[in-house]
Amino acid sequence: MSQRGIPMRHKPLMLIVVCVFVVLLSGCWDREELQQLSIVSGMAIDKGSDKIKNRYRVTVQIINPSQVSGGQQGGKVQASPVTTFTETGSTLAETLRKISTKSPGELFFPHLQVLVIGEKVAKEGIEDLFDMIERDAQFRVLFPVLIARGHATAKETLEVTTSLEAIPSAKIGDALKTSEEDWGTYKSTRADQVVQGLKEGSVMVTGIKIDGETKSGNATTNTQQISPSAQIEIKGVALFKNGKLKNWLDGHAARGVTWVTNEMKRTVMNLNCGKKKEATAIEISRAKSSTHVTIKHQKPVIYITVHAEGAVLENNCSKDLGKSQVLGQLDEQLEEEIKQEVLLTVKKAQKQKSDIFNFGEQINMADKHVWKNIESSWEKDIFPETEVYVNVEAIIRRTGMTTKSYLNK
Amino acid sequence: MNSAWNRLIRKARKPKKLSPQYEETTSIDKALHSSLAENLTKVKNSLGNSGDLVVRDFKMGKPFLCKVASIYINGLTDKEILGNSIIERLMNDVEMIEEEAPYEPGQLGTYIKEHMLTITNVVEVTNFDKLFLHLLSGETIVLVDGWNLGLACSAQGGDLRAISEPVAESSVRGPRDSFTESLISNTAMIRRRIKSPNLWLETTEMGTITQTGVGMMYVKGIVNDKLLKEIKERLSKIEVDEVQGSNTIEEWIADETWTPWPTVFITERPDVVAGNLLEGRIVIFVNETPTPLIVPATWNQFFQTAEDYYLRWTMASFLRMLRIVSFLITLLGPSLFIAFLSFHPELIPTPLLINLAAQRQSIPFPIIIEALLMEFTFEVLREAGVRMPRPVGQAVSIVGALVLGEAAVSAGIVSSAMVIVVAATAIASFTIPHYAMTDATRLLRFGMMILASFFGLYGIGLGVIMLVAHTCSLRSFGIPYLAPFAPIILADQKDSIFRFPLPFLSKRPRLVSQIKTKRTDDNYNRGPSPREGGMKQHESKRDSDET
Repeated sequence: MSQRGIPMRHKPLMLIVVCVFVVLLSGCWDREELQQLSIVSGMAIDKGSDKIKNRYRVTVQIINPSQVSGGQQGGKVQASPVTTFTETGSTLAETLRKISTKSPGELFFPHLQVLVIGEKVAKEGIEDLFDMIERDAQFRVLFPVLIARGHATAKETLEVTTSLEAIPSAKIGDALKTSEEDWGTYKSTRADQVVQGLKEGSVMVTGIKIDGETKSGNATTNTQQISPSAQIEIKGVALFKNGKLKNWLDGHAARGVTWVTNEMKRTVMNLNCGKKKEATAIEISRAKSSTHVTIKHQKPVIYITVHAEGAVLENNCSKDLGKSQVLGQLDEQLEEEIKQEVLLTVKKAQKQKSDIFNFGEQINMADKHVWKNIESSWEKDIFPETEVYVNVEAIIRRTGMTTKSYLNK
Repeated sequence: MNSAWNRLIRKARKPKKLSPQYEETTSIDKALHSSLAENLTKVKNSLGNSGDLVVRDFKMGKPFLCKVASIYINGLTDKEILGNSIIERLMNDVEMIEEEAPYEPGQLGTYIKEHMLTITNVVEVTNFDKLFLHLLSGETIVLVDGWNLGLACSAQGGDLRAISEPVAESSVRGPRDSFTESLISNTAMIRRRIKSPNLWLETTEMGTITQTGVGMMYVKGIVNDKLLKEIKERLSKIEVDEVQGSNTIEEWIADETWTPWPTVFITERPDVVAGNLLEGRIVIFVNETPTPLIVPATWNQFFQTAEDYYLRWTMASFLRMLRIVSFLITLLGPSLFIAFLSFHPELIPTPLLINLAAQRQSIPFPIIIEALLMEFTFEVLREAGVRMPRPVGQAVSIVGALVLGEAAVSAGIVSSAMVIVVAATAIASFTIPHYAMTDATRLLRFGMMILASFFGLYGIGLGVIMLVAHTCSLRSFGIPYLAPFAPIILADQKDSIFRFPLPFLSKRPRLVSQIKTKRTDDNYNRGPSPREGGMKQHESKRDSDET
């Protein structure tokens, strides 16, 4: 040690220097007492008043902790569990800083539950909104992004009070998660997925809508009604192309997207029973899909394979499910149903000239030379003309507690 | 600078010169006189005519033979033995003396020693130094007029505390005895457990004034001789006038003074001592102390209890892991709470964060102040609980529990989450089985809290790294303190965090006993050892059963 390296007598000095470095270079001086933070639970972005100075109108929803948490602070005046502050500005960063003139503490974003973007902004383009979210260390990019649909602004959507969950943003996040898991039609899109989609050209974002009177949503009286005047509802999938909202997909078409993109978790599908339409309900409990591309004559051909497993939830039909023949028929029916849904979606996307499934990336992986040739004209000319084949393998695993229905006579 | 420091230390360690007058009275190196009266005067004067000094002088023989005196310290003597075996023999058995006893004083003294004193141990003393040592240890001195020797008769007695249940290290299934203040009674407890001629005890006196008995016990053949030599050398370097309890020895012989960790192990249980002796460790008993020292000590040892070996191995292993986790909670609990709340609120789940934020909304202090306040209060309560007189205990617990817990929360001075953290930390600290380790952890916790309040998790990381590095550098009598984790010794993992079933534990800890690590290897002990005898008995019994 003393022969090479630091001489022995300098050792204490070096130790002190190292300690000073360790303390001063740590650069993590972000100590902030909890009571000085304004925890932001939701953020809404609407169109501002003009196009140059005030492009955006940003609203943040701040949690009022003592109203949300149960216990100790009983007996206080009933205040609303959240408060919103709104400011206008041209960049997100500027606008958020402006809000500090209204909010009591530093805005704290890591616990952001949801970001709602107004439909007007979405139509004009959302490309400029995500740079700060990706760049700033405070934002986690794992919160879902939603588009406020219809006449209501994003701000109004965020402000609809609900009785079952004190924080409106948390209610939106929960509803989205539940619908994604149980109904499977509208998948949630996280901020990082939006950023990825913006890079690639096309992206889908779930929509949200106010049911009822928009105005009465922003009041605690809304929660005192058994059937609230204003409710929020997850509805539709917004198709974005080059950062601009192009079209909405609803119902079966929206579900088709989840099938293709392998996002399907659970859903329920109705099958016909002879002449009785929509008589048998099948729950899809496990689903998997994959996309495969082959190049034929310098043109891509796309094969979509879907595997689905399900169980019979409801059978208003005289078919005897104990027979394997009947089950086999049901399997085929289910396969056909899923296939139709997928094809419906693909056709809609082709009509929109918007590759929402990212087939382009698949082609690139299959043959990069072909992709290079067609890349520039892919969405516009080639995608609408591309052949898409869908192959579905579905199997019904269980028929519930009974085989025959009581209608069986 | 270095040499100046050394000089200072040397100066400080040099024994102080005693005042001349004091020296006169204590340094009696002179031999005993042959005149009884002169000897008695000297003894009385030396002890300043102390009230507890009893001098009983009497005449021996019916036709006056000789003047004899017995001297003892009141309260240190068993008066029954003294009366029956010394005074009565000397005063009453006159006829025998008349017939047999020689008349020359020197021969008479030898005769008394050899034929008359029916006492277990009699030693001849030649000078006043020896005389006082024996006298003040509770022995009775018999002086004969005209003889320049004295007889020290062991008739020690007086009141000693009886063997009681262990207070700090209780167990459910194990033995219930614990050490007392008497060195001899303590070593006897070990003798009862290890009936081997290889269990050796070396005794000496320490403390220039107190002359406290110190006994070093080890199992010859298992103990590492280098270690033994090292400990003897360190013991010989102790220069003190008083030894009050084993801590005096501990602080003198410990390897490292500037460390929070204890590097000497202390216990009050004889079974723990016996177990450690058989692992090759050395035990130092100190008279008037119920807690002998065990060296070398490893960090691991402080998380093991005697109970581990009395419970089934599954439970014992679980409890050991539980203790390590509790240790981590004690060390890091409050600091992690501080770090998360003031630096990393993004790491707390949202509902919990909202709850914590609601609790903290009305708290006027920064979280570190709040934490220090609560921890300090807890330490005060704990100290009060130990120091206060027993009858006022209830008052303290009522004030402590109600006022400082409940009322502080409702007054908005501390948040209830902080009360929970402090309470959990306190409870966790009580699961560390050895008090020395608990104390170390309690102190380190404060350092961690300060680091957390300045640097968050980064600071805690730094603190832990520094602590681990420091602990790795420690040694206890040449044994790495963190053994068997650093250096890692795979064979010893069987009995560290886990406790394997006892049939698997056939080896002693590697580093402690480097000579004989196999427990059943009896080659070093080919005498008529009790174990072999027992085996033979067993075999013969089985033979007879078969026939």
